[in-house]
Amino acid sequence: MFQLRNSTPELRTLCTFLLLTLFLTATVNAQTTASLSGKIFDNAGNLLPFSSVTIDTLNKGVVSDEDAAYRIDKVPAGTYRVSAAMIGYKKQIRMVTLNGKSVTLNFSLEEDTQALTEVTITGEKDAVQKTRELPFSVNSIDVVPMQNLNMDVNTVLNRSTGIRIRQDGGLGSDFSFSLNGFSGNQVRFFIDGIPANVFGSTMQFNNIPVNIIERIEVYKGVVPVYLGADALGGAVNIVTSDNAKDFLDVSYGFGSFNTHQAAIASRATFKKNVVINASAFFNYSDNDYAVDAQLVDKNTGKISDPKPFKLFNEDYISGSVMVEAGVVKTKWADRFLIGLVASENEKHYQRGRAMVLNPAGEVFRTDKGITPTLKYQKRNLFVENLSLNVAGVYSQTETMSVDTSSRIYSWDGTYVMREFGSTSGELSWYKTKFRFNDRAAFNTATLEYVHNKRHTFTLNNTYSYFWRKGSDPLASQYDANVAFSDPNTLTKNITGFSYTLGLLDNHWKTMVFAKLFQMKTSVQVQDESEEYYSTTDKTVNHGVGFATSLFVTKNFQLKTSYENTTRLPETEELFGDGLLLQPNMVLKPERSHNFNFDVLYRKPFREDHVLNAEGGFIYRLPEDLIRTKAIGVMSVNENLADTKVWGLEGAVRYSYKQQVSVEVNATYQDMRNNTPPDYDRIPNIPYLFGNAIVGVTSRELTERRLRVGFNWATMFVEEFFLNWPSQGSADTKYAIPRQLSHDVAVSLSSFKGKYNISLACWNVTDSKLYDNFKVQRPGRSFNVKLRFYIDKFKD
Amino acid sequence: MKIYTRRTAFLLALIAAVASSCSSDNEGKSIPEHGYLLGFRTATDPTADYILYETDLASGTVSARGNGIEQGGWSYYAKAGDTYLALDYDNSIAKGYRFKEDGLGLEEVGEFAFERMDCFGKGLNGTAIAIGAPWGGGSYDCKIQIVDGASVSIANSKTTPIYESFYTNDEEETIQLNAWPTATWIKNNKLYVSFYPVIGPTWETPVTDTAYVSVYSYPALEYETTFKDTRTGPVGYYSSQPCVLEDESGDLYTLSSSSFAAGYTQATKPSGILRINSGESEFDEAYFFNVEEEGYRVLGGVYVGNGKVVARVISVTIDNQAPAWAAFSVVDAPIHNIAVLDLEDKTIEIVDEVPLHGGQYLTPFMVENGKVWASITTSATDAFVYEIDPATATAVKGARIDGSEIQTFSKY
Repeated sequence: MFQLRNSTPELRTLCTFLLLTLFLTATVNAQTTASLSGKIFDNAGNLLPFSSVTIDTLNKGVVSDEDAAYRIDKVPAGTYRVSAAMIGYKKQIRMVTLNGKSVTLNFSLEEDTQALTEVTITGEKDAVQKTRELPFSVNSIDVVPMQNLNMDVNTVLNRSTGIRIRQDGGLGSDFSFSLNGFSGNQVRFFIDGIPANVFGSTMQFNNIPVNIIERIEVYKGVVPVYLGADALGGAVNIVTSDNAKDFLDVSYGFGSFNTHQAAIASRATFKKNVVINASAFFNYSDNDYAVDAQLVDKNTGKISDPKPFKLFNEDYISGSVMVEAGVVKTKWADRFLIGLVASENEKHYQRGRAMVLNPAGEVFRTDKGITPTLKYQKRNLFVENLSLNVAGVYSQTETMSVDTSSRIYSWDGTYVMREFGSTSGELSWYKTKFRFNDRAAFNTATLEYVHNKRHTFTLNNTYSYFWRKGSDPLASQYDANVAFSDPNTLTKNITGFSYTLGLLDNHWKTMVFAKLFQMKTSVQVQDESEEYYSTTDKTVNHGVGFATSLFVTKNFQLKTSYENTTRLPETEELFGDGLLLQPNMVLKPERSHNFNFDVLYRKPFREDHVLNAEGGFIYRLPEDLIRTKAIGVMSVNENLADTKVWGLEGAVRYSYKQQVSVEVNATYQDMRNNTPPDYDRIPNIPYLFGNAIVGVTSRELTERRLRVGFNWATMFVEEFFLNWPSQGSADTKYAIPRQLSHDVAVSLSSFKGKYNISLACWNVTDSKLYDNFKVQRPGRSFNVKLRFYIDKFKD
Repeated sequence: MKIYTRRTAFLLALIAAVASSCSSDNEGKSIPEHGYLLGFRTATDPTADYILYETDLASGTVSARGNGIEQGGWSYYAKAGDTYLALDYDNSIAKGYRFKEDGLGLEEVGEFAFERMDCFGKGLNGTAIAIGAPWGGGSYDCKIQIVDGASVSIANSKTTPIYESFYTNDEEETIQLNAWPTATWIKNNKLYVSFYPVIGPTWETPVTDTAYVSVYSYPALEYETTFKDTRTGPVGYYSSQPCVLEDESGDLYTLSSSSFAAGYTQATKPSGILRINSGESEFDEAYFFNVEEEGYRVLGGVYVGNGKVVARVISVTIDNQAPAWAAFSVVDAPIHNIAVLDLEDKTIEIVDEVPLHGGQYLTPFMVENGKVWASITTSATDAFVYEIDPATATAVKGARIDGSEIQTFSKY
């Protein structure tokens, strides 16, 4: 304990020595040999990547890879003492006899609760840390410590540097993410490398239980080619866990506003590595939280002072079932899975995207979809270090938006019949019962070859096709021209190639890449007299860029990247959502020069204390920036010809073991219309925000291995204007006020997480929070979540 | 110690400099004691509306940069007594403003909600008339509302169809037409409403051979009669354009546009001007000014004096090719002229100094010293105030509008 400072260099020397020995041994050995391989787990069966495994008598050692697998080749016949070690765990020694046949030897290390001391070895990296070292501006969130804290994915993301999540309302509302000042679809979301939106609308990020997530990779700026993305602002990739062979995870949460969230996730492994994954999610909420609203006197039009009224038409229900079967870890596939996702959704809308005097009491939207999926992964395909990753998704979705009521509601739930203009809906100009059928095909393929551990070549192709046909029995009464009466299609094809070079023992990594973006739209567009005509448009764009990262010292890393890239419009941006987001069929791709510079610093000190600090600078010149513009309660996407963005972000984090962590982060982004004389800040987007998080988790108490956790998070968003800031006198301008809120959660888990219970209180001070266009979010709410988790790792 | 002080002084100076530069940025224009009140629309995307105070329309720039009272949405303006009403069409909320006691600037004095207000007129005793109509059809009733400026609320209202008429189409179907109000005024205890018949949901105008005015008792708002004239088409068009003008003697002149750009889907009578003699409830059979004969269709205008009207017109040639509703496109369809009409001589003279320009909703004109101020937008980057002299039919380009248009002019 007291020798920490001295022991570190020694251990580093030892590691180097071990690696060197291994290298030499491997080259000179010629006699009858066999290989020894296996995996390292902890007591609970969790993988322990980057553990060291040593054949003591031979002085041969390796470090297990990110999947916690190790392999020592060319071991001469004999009996050996093999030890496995990992910081924070008791070293385990096992005897093994090899006689020319390869042997599998797994280790299960016991946590060393006594002395989680010593050795903060430089070589010690977990997968999370490893992702941080890619030559991208990346922030990898280890969600494992959060799994007992009843957090949903959005909450987890909200507490990461540069990320801000805005939500129109309660459960089931639309989310809009912004990453380093880029938002909406400039930021792409992936689940195991597959874009989340292809799984259908129910498959929202937030519906994935944190329980099955291993880590969340957040790429800022340049996105690796294997994600096949045309994201401008970055990407978020949720990596699900493959660790457990059999597991069952059941959780149920309930809370304020009659909110229920149930999730089952399970996996079963059979003979010959046949695997079945099955999961189901169910969400329900009345979302009847109170918002400040005004009543109108029917005769005089007089408007009362704002008072709190409970929402009565914002309930949400969604369900989803996913079954996936296939094989893993066979000769021809590391993973081959065929699956089917079925989902259904119903959401009611009391408000559009702005606060109104007369809320909607009858508007709702339903969708149901069925989505077959295919995933194939193989490492060492034909030759060593060549890997192939293929995914194909097809989906068929039926959506209906209903706004047919002639009632005019008040916030107290009473209504009168509309006296005139009865063709108008509650939110829509014309009553609508718009049904549309979507068909979407998506496939992505990545081929990666690593040569000499230093050269990585990656080739990706992502193809997507989207088809929508719609009908509206109501609107067609007034207008022969109904949108989507003929099918509208969008085809996108993105090809990317990258080369990554690692120098100085991979301390300096550089990637160069080139991308080709193709888009074809075949759509119906309205002419001046609002008649529809069909038009086909093709665009081809190129993108190039580089990213480089360098460890200046072992604690200090610099990253920088530049790209000239394109973002193709998403289907929803182009085609609308059939209710509140209007289509813009002539939306152009967004082009941009992006420059990122980041500094990362990690300082371990005094035994188990670690200080992390990160700072980033971004500079961007987007052309035809795709932005959502408000039109009353509706919105539409448009291109902003010339914009300029620079931003700064910073985060400081202190942690002690896995027990205490304190983080403060802040982001400032200066996003402006690049036209004189105003260079106006783009309105209705937060530009200064920050978070502070304190987390404390006890060590295991009592025989039942009880752990108590406590988490506090504070969110801050500076006031921002609804309209262009340069216009009008500041004191009369409409603004979304400064917001400050606090969330608290307490959790209790026993038997290593087998039983969990957590209690959360969101918005503790009941402060007024707003999102898009002054739409009020829930006040103080409580939530209880129960979770049961069992798994099995060994055969 | 000395160094310390000097450094502190420097720091304070720096802070002061920064602070003062900041405040000068944020400080709006000072509010003049007398001037113009403007309803200003920016050229930003999306546009935003502001109420501005200006002292000079003849030169310089009219801008909402750091200046003006922000409105909640796309706004119409009206006046009820000394209360200025800004009617936010996006949110259906009307805000009332009055000048403060010291005369320096407006203060918000109240707000009310409305279902629809499409057509405005001057009321009695500090009120305004606002008629709501069924946009997109679905029903045939309109709502005549009397807005009280003092209490900033709707004092009285009456639901009425204004005029019931039917049309039989080629398929022998009988379709009820909506009467869309275009102008309203009060005279001799009667409330008058001019309107144009339209098929509610489709905005088609199958009946365009008659000018109509409905008559109501005032203040009871009981329907009495509708008087007509078949020498020209309906009076006015969508969005309460200034289409009924009063001269010095109280005679009223009604403008019938018969214009495709203004939303008519057919025109069966020439665009022209009829007269309603003061106090009468009928058109003067002795008077008709056939404007179309002169090669133009008249959209909206203002009476200046001596029988002269300054009007926004569109040439028949352009109008015949114009897409529907082009007369409402501020930026994209510069198809209008400004003309001086002589009501007695029945002549029209185009004001050459004013270029072809876009149309407006609720077209605002303001008369001052025998001249007329108008907002003229020719492109996304070019909008100016023009001062039009009806005596010489000439105009002078005034202040640049650093926005897309001025929605209302008012002198205070």
